[in-house]
Amino acid sequence: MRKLVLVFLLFFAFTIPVMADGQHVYDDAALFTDTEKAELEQLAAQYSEKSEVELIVLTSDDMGGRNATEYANDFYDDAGPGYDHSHGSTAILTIKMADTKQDREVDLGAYGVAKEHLSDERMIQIREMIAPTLTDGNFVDAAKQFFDKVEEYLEVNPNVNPEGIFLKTWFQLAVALVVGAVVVGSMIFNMGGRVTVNHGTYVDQQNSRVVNKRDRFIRKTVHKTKIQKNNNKSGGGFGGGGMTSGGHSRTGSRGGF
Amino acid sequence: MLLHYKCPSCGSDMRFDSESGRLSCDSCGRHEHIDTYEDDYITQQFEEDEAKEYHCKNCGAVVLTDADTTSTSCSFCGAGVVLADRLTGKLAPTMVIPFTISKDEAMQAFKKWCKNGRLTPKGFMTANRVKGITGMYVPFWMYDLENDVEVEATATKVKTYRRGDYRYTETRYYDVYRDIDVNYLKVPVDASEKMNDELMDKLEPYHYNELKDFKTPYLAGYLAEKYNYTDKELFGRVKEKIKTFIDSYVASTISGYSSVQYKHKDIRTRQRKSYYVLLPVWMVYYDFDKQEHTFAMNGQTGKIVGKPPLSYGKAALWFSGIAGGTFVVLKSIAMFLGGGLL
Repeated sequence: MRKLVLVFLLFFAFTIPVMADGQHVYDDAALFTDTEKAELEQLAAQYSEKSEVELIVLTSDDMGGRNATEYANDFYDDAGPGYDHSHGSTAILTIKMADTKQDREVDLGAYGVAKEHLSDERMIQIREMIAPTLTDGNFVDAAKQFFDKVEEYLEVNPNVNPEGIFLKTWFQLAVALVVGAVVVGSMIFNMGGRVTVNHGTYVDQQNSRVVNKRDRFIRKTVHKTKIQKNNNKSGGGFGGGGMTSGGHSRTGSRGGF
Repeated sequence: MLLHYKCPSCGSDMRFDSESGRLSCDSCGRHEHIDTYEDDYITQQFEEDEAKEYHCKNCGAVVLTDADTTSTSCSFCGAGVVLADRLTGKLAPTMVIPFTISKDEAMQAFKKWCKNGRLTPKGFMTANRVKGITGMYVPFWMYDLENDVEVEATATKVKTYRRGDYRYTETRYYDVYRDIDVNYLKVPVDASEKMNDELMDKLEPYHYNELKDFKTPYLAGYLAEKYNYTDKELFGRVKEKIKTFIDSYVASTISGYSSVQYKHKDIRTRQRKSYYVLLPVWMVYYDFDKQEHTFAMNGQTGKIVGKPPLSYGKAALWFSGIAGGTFVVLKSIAMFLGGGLL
């Protein structure tokens, strides 16, 4: 019996630290101070454990001619991160730092199971939220925002827009008030009895008919509107999904800041 | 001229019984069918024309009536009296729907209705403050109407589809024309000055299969009024009333479009026939909070109308209950789909 307990203890002692100990922040561009980096590491570990998705932040000022997406994909192929197994569920925030604004890029990518909840559209939404923070040079807050939003969106049903109006409390409150007002209003209105006669009550079926009718087509108008693609805001974005060169599929979004 | 209905067996006064649909005698329980009731038993008494006072033939008391009353009961002996001279010639009703709901049933139904008032103040529900309940034949005009309707409209059909990177909205315009004959039979409009039009409109519908040729014994024991307005005078009101019917019928003939805009709508209404009928109404007078409330009950179907007092407290309670419940449901769905608590 004692041995068994020992085996269990050993099992937990080894498995949990292995997942939590993995590095989450690879700050090649030195955007964070040491304290910031430590804080982010700790946050990333916490969030990863909670959401069962490995959260990773990459920064670099030299990607060797690759864009941020390619850089993130290569990282995923090589390092093979994942929450419970290698090349598993992962979300990566990649910041490509450069001296000129037009060369700076940010990429958000999801791999493995995380893809289901972090679709291209959602990654675009998150990217648009954190891009202004990045533009301000506030990289730590941007990373924290990224963790926060990823964790929030992972909870939301993939068929629902997480920023949609239906999930907003004020909207639910407004709908509830309107429903209450309409129901009670109609109750008050109908308190004294309703008129329950209509056309059908007194109509003489035999002697009522359409004698003559005409439905003539006159003209038609056609309006054409371009379907808005959500990738051209805040410094331009690029198709986020696709495949890594190692053959892993991903969803995501890339843009400038 | 005053009419009394005497029982062929015992000589007491008979009155109309809503349950059996016959004349009944309270003393000996005899029932007489109205179609076979012999005129011999109707005692007549002539009075000066347009008098407002009659002598009850039964007890000799003075029966005071309103100038519009055609049927009443002697306030002393309770004998049903019909004022026949106000029901003859131009004032003769052609048809009547007899009462099918008795006074007791009306009272019971009213009490039940009071209890079901979800927004009425608590004290109102006890319904023990009924000041009076009166069975009354209210004069109505019924119209048979012929309508020739001509409508011209512009209607659209809207289709949206996607091709490539574009969304197309295609709107097709149509010129729509309808020539419609629509006839209505026996549309009722109340012809009594005293009755609230809105209240009377809400009492409908009456079932016309119980429409009977008018005979004075139906009125025995009830209050009845004669009309204050002729069919010509009320033609405008009936036209107004069927306008919504016609509008809904016209709309139903123009279907399959996304939108319809009327260019013009010509309605020519002709009156084919009009009938003067008496319809049964129970009037309930009720005191609450030093105010008198009037309710009317359809004497044939039991439908009750009339504005009861409103309890703001209860309304607020219902409002918060419904709004709160809706919010909880919405929030639960949202949380189930992954939304946060706040």
